[in-house]
Amino acid sequence: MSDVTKPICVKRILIPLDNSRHSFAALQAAVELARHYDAEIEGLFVEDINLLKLAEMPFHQEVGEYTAIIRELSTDGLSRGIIVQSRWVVQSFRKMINQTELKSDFVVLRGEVSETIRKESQKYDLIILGKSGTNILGRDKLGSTTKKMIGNHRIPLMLVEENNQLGYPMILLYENSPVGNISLETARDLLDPDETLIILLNKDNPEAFTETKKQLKKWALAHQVNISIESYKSHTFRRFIQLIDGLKTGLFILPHNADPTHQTITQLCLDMISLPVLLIRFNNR
Amino acid sequence: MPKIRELKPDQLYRNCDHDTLGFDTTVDINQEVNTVGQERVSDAIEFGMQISHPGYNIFVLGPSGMGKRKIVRDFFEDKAKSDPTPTDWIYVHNFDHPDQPHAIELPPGMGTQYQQDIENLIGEMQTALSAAFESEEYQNRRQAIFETFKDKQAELFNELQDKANQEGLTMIKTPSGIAFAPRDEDGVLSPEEVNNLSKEERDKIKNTIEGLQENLQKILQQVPLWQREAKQQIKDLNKEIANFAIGGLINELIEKYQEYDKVTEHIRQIQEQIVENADDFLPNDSQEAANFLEALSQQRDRGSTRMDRFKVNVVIDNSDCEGAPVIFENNPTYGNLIGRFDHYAHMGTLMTDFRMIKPGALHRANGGYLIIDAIKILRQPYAWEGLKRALQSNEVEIESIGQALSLISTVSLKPEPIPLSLKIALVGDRLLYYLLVQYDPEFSELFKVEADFETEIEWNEAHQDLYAKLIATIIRREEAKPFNRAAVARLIEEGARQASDSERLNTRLQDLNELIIEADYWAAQHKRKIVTDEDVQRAIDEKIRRADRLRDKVQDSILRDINVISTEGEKIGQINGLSVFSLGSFMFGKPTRITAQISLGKGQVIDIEREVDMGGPIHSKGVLILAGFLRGRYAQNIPLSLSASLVFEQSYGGVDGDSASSTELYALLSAIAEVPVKQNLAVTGAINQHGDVQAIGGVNQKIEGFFEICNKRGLTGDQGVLIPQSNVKHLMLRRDVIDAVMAGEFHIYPVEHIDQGIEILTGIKAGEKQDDGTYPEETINRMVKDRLEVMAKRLAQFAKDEDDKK
Repeated sequence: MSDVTKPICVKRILIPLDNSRHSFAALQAAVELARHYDAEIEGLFVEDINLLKLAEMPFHQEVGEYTAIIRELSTDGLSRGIIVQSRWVVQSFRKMINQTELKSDFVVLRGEVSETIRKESQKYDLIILGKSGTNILGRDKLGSTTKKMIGNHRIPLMLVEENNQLGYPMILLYENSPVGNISLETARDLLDPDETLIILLNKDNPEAFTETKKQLKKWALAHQVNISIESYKSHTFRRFIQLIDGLKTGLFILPHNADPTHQTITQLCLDMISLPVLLIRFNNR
Repeated sequence: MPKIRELKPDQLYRNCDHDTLGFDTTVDINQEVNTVGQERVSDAIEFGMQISHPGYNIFVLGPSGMGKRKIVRDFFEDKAKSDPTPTDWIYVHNFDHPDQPHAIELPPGMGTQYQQDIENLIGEMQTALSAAFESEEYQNRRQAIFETFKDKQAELFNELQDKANQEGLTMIKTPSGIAFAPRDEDGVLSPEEVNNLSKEERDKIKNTIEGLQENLQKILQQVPLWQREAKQQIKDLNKEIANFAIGGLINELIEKYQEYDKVTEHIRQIQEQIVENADDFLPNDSQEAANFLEALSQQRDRGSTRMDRFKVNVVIDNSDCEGAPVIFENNPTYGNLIGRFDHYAHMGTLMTDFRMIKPGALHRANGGYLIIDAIKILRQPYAWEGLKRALQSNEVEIESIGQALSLISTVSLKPEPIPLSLKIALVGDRLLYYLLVQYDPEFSELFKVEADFETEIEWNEAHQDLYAKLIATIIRREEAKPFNRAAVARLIEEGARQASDSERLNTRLQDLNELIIEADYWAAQHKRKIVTDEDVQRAIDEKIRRADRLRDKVQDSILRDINVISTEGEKIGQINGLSVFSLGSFMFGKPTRITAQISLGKGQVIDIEREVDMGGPIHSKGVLILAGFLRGRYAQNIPLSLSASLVFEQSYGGVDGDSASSTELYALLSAIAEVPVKQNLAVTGAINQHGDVQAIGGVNQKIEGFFEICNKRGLTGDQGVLIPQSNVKHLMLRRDVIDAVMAGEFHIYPVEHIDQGIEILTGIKAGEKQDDGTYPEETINRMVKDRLEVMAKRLAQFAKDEDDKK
């Protein structure tokens, strides 16, 4: 909680899109954040190289999603399908962005999806993703791309689920660490002065809890931030997190710590929380 | 033969005796009289109104300006006051057949009430439905149904995924389907890696994939069924919620209108529609329209627009009506009479629905009375047929003409017909009535009551009294100043003049109305508070002055001797006849020179007018009659051996009527007898074959026409006019003519027989036939007969000489 800790600085936002509803919920959130940070948005569509490879397999067949008909896959057919998808995504992106005055760009790249996004994301300050992609297994599960991004993102990552919008309450899972403090400052930066920041604080160690709480209050007073501190214990965290599952708008800020104890909690949060989640990792680049 | 006595001034005009009018000014007359002498019409209309059998509609006939419409309207309005107020009619949507809207009958005033109730219901339903469908209960239950569906789907996919994983395969979503591919820890194998596998391994993978694909197919085939199931569940839920939301409102309304089965049925149908299609009525957060057409389309599909179907179209609202309605349809087009349905443009198409139904005069007058001008309805295409159809079927059915004739091709309606019960009065002139009777067989079945207006009534004391009251009523209605007794008397006298009969009064109310308004105007010009006879006279004079341009021209041409008329001296075979010109409502008389020439011949009288097709049949008839007279009187023992020709000099238009037949005979007698005729006299009168002089029309105008010429040339004291004795009772002459007669400067001779006339015209006795069949010496008849005998002998001698030559 040193004074030198700064919130994340967002000048360029990357928003990888596919034609899932989640990804358009993510775009909506990206627009709002871009307005806050006065940032530039870049849309990205990755033409999946793995898909194109499918047609080269000896057993290149697919089952129609609605017709349930088995048909041959061809490279041409797949390419065309992907192009159609990408065109639709670009159009939708333009339509939404054109209603704003934000600076924007859109790129279409070909490659392995996660890897392409990861590489591309190096040029950006924030990446916003739909929580799951177009997988047929549907809902609430983290998509494979998302999972990979969580595993290796270097820059702040926001995950957005369909039907859940960015807004209030703003909830921060605080830990007294550099990344925790960056998260705290980021929350302050994003918070409207009239709103209250809800800080979730671990009470496994009561003394540490009291101390941290004291520091947080001091910090809040110094920065004139309304805060409300809620305590939790690691073994009851699941029950605790269920309480916020019903919220449809809000923002959950999650410091992404490599610490194994935190990993479980992070995973729980990612699995259970429907609100947009902002994952902040300590970036020492 | 009785000696002719010229008419005295008191025979030339009938004065209205002021003493018989029992008032000073019309203010003293309180009684309201709207008609005079129309008892036949009153009885007919009364009969037509009272009789309830179909087809007893009324045709009110008479010349224009009689006040027919007003009179029939007064009758109807009087009767309508005591009649029951008819019911309201509404049109509502027919949910089974939208093109055939239902008609519902409701007690007076209830139509608009029901309309308002439905408007309120729609508003309340929208609120209630919004609240119900936004409620947490609904949202959660709806979400639960979706979740169940998704879970079911996900469960099977997960199983398949797990199965695939166990076999070293993974499911991959392609742009249009799902594929399986072999994988290892690092992900999907590349095509090269697969190709490097042994054939057995590849076959195994292939078989496994085929098995999985089959499983996947089965799962995917299930999905639509589950979707349908989920949709049905959502629909059931919507129904349940909608029913709950609007049930109370609906029941309240049903209870209010429980006596009216059709209304409760309509309310129930609304409920059914909303419950069945609840989601159509939900507030729609539709996506932004991509273009104009889409926006229009969305506009139409919105819940509020759908609710429009439930609205009520009140076509007949009798809430403010006391008694039965009396409607006068001034523009009886088909649509205005039968009703119509308008169209509205929607996305380039013309649309219509029950809300666009507009009532016609038949709807508005249903249960009451309808007045239509016959000529107007006959002029409107299809209106007459439409009216007859409605009266024959006793119901009014709105049909578009355009549709019936396939003129337009667009959405159309066939609204349920409304039972018709009303009394119709057609107002028109007599000719129209007789033509309809003659040429339209259905007319007599539908208009059985004939109300025929009298155009004149007898001028007796009782009628005079009524006439004065009628004048007073018109004065009040027109808000004119009061008329004094002399002014009313002058109006009554003018009534007789208009009837061209000193024993009759004109009942054409329009003439009286105009005269009253104009006299009132002239009184105002003279700043008089009471209208006097001077004002009435001024009004009469001014009215004539406005119309007499042509009369002035004609007289001017006579006075300048362009049109030659002698008013002095004597001449053989030449006489002044009198004709009448009728220009609109203005008539004037004009003297015309008639001449006759004779020669030897075979007894023919040639009517030159007829020879050149300028004489009408009645005129020709008159000429043939006079030839008959000649033969009858003078050619009993000898052949009529002359050929005579008769002509209206300087006549460039047609001539018709037999009023000049006596005049022509006088000219002919003068020519035959070679006796000159006095040119200071003019003659009018028809004759029969016995020489009796018979009545003619326009006697007043004819006398005045000759008088004006003489007067302008300067009266000589011996000028005058011969008229038929039977026309004396028609005399209502102008004051200046009467004054001249009074001063002995002008003379009017009533003639009964041709012999009387010829004596006056020639100053020679006509001569009565003696027992030996001859006429006395020095008489006209003797001269004529002698001349005819001479001519017969000459002709016989001529014929003999000719035969001898041969």
